[in-house]
Amino acid sequence: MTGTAISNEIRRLRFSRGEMTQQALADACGVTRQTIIALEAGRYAPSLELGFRIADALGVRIEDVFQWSRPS
Amino acid sequence: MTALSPRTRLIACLLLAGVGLALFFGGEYRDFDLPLGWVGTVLFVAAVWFCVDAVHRIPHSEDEAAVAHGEWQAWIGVAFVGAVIVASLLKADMFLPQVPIGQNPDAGAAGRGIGTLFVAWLVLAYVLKQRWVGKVLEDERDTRIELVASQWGRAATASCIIGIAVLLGFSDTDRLREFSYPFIAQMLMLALLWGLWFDQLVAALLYWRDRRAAA
Repeated sequence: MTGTAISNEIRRLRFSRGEMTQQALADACGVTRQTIIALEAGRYAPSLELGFRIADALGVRIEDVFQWSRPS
Repeated sequence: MTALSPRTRLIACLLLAGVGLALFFGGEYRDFDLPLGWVGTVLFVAAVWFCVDAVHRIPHSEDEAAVAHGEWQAWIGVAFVGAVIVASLLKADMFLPQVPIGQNPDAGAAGRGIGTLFVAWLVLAYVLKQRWVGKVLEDERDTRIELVASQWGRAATASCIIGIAVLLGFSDTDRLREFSYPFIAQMLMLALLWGLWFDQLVAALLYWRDRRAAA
């Protein structure tokens, strides 16, 4: 719920896929729109399964969506 | 009321609910020969019902969509459980007589009023859930927030129980005579309610903090 060490490209990938809405992505992944909002804002680190579901919905590999940076 | 817009109706009903709650907390006045506490309860429940009806008629707005179902439920829980705690504290002296609650009409009336608030909360929570029917109501983020909130709620309950134990353990004999068994039972119930309220509050704040950071 705090800022996480996992960053993501969800917002950019949504727009590159014909401006897919947050609600459409949420429905495709079976989560609430607020979770997508929290993910895009870097306020929430998803489970591995949700990460795969998001990547699948966006049509890319999971490493294209999420990046992990070692905490300093 | 039919000429008013759903939003105006909702505000009017919320104001009526507030008046009902004020009467409920005010209780019975000696100067009036009216059961004002009971009237307040009925007014509150009726106003809550019409609020729910008004909420159903308001179209889904962008502002509403920004707030998760779990956050709505948590804030409503904060309000209702808070009201139950305030009511329990205001009517705590009714549990002081050393008689069983079943034989104490004042305590029975207080218990019924508090019970009514709980029922109104459950009904409101259920009807709000119906407003979101067909949508995802809960996911892994909600579960994680609930987990963190319940840990805080448990800690709050435990600290309250410890407070009661210390109060009872270190009170002198005269003070202990004042604490009837129904009063101690009421204190234990308050400890549970405090934990529940804290749980709801932490959940609501966690949702709000995430939403605020994302805005």
